[in-house]
Amino acid sequence: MSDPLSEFLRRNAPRPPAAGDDLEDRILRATLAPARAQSWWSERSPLLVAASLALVLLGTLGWQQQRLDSTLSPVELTALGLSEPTPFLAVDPETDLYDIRF
Amino acid sequence: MGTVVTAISDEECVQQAIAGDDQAFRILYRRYADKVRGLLYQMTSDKEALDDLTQEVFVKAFRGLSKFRAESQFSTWLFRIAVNCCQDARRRRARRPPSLPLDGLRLATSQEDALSRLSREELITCALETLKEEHRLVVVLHDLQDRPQEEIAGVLSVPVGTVKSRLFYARRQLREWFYARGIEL
Repeated sequence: MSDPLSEFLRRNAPRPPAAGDDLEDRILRATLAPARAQSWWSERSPLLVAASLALVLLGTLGWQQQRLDSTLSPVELTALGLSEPTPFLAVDPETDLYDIRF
Repeated sequence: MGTVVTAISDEECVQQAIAGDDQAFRILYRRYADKVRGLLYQMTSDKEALDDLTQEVFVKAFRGLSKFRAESQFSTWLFRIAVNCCQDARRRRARRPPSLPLDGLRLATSQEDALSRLSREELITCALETLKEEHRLVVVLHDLQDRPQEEIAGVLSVPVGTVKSRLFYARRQLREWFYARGIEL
């Protein structure tokens, strides 16, 4: 024989309100979207890495070339007044103090 | 929810869902949405947060499907996730006042039929609110959701004896609560 309390609880269990119309689709979107994004990324990541490396390499080479082309002779530097040694700041790794060098 | 849920087993659905089959996700959702929502609602009594909580449970479950080892039934695994989400939600809600304070109960007077002024569902909701969380869980899973004690033990990761003991004390407290309000069960 069933317990009257259990029977009462079972028969009158609070029923949840109906789910929103779009809940199922919301759940599916939330579940699948990141997985597909990850899948897209993992399929293309070797290609993207290769392209990125090529861009960095080309950029570095171009920058080096530009630097070589634009190097001025000491005479020209003197004429422009840039032959003065330029001070700059550095940090002593042992003391963490700034060090001005010339 | 009127869509026919096919006879495909949970395990087959899980495998197809892991392979990215949208339809398999839908079948699992439609098969368990009502049960999970029932558990969430009976544990939290929070209508406003119910859809968000349902989403939290299914998204966690679906994203973690690859971790489902089939050592237990899919339903046990899903209910365990739902129970964890309930506990998280109750912790989050602990800072807020309860949605249905007991002080606000319109209790029956001695002249009236005790159940005439309150809907039975509301009464049970209030009664459940008085239980400790671990006692409420076993009552909801066993008496309201009609889950067998062995499955509840699996969901809660406790021995079956512990489930029986919690059920005993929870029912005793509920009987006393109802009795104090003129309802003998």
